[in-house]
Amino acid sequence: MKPPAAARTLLMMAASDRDRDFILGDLEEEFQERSGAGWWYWSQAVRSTVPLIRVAVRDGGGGRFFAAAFVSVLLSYGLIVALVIAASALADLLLPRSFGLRIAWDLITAFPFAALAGYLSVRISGRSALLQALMLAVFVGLLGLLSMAMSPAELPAWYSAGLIAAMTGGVLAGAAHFARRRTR
Amino acid sequence: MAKGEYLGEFEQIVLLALLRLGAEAYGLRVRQEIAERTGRDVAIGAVYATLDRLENKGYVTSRVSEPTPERGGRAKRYFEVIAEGRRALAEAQHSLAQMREGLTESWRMS
Repeated sequence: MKPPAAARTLLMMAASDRDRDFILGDLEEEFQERSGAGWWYWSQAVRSTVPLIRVAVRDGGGGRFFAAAFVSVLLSYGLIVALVIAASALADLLLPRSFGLRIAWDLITAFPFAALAGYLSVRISGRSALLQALMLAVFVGLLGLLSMAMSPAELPAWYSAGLIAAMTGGVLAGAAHFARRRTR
Repeated sequence: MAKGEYLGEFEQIVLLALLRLGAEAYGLRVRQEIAERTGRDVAIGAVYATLDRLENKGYVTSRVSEPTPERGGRAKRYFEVIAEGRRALAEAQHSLAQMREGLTESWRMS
């Protein structure tokens, strides 16, 4: 019997390099002892998140950790913006002048670009992939809300909301993918 | 003892669990020992965060075992309380005992 994959990923993202394998091993052992209690594993994963992130921040030297994380978030956000602009230029060249097609293109391309940014963000400086990804997701979400407020009236609200969801989801998915690769 | 080196309640509980478990003290067993004796179902992350802190303070040491299949091929990290940790724990317990001294049992009720 295997522990819930999403809960394992959450732990992989939250734990420091030093503790990750031991924590996953301990939980796997107790999970088998409990004959595969998924709810119990989820409870452990969720409740472990805050103390593990605190350890990762403390080990990284508090202020230095946040400074490095912030720089990587800025770099990653810059990457998203650059890729979105490039995708937009490509759409101008390739797609017919259709409002619907353009919206679909934006929504479809936002997710992989954000995922790439999330992946790179935790790779650049991440000790706690989860904290790093959350910082980036909040940043992306706030700037998305700002652009939503400033966007032309003809753009529907669901488009901006979808774009924010695709980007924040992409960031978290990219960071999760990095955490899984690191643990393999 | 320098400021910041005082033992919190949970740190004392974890040190006592390590002493009780002896050579079998690793994260999972520490968590289970605490649950069994205190009724507190603590998160494994909180146990490791505390063990890391105690190791940084120089109160415990750890060693890594061979990987085992029932743990998905992962190793265990065993912890042991060293002399400095025992001394800090004894001081913390002594302080509590000193504070309790002279109080009647009625303090529990009020």
